[in-house]
Amino acid sequence: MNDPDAGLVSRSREGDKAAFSKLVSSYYEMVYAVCYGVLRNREAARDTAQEAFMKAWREISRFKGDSKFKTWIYRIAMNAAIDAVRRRRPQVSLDATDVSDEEGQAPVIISDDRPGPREEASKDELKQMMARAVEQLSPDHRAILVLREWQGLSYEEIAETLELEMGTVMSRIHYAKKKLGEVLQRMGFNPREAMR
Amino acid sequence: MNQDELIGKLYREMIREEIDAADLETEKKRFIEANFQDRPVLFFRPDFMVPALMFCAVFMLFVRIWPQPVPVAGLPVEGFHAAVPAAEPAVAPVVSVGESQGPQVLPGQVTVERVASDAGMPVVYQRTVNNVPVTVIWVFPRQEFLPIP
Repeated sequence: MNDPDAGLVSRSREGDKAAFSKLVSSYYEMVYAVCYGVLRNREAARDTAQEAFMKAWREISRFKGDSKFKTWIYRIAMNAAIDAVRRRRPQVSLDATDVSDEEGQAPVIISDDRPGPREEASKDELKQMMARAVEQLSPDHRAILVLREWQGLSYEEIAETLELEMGTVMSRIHYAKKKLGEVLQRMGFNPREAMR
Repeated sequence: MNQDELIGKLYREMIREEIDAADLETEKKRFIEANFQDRPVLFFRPDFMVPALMFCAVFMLFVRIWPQPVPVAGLPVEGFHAAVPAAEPAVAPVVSVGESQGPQVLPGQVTVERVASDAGMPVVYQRTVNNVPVTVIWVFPRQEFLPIP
């Protein structure tokens, strides 16, 4: 495997802080984005991203280079973010009719008491709706969505990062997007109108 | 653009907005400085170096302004008093001692009230020679007062 960070990783394993600081510098934004994608909170994302780097520094001597450093640090960040969101608050379903899904998890369905799509048609509002919709996804689905949509990782890379089967990755991505579409529609957003 | 693509686009815009707003560069620098930068040895650290340099500057200024008088062997130049036994009153009146190349012998015991010289830094000390207290006054002439070789 050809890891562009192999040199820096090797020096970091020998305790070279300067080398590790270059890795931090390269991946800080990406790790933060991954954490934010899961946690949806700036301070928590910052803390979790930094915690992930500190954990990587502590454990880099055990990193054997079986995967790329990028994959490894994503995995650490993802696990830290998912743990953090689970610690923060359990998800509660508000709609008993929509409890089961293909993952057996319980998404939260929000009631639609906001104005209709014509009143909420501006771009900013669309983004706000998207932000609220993402919050309805489980941490696992948020993780997979951010890796796919923001980091642009392939299914294989996501599978390696999250240590999942490819089929699970594909099904979760499909489910996350479908769920987002449904929640957005409940909020009054009509994708077909927005696409026109 | 289908619904999936639209959702993906909205999602990416939302994350991009957050990344732009979060001031990650500053946070990253602070984090790296705090955890992954070797701190310089104490003397070269700014929190030590700046006060140390300020102290040196103030000290040099002080030395420059007050270069004299420098007391020697713990004896103050101004107001130097030769030891006078309390039982014996000083017999000599106030005498002005002029500059001389050799020793001057004053009658009886004297009190040295003040030592000053335009030529350079005076040094005063006292020693006992054959049970006679002797007050020695040296003047170290400044460069311009030295004889031309």
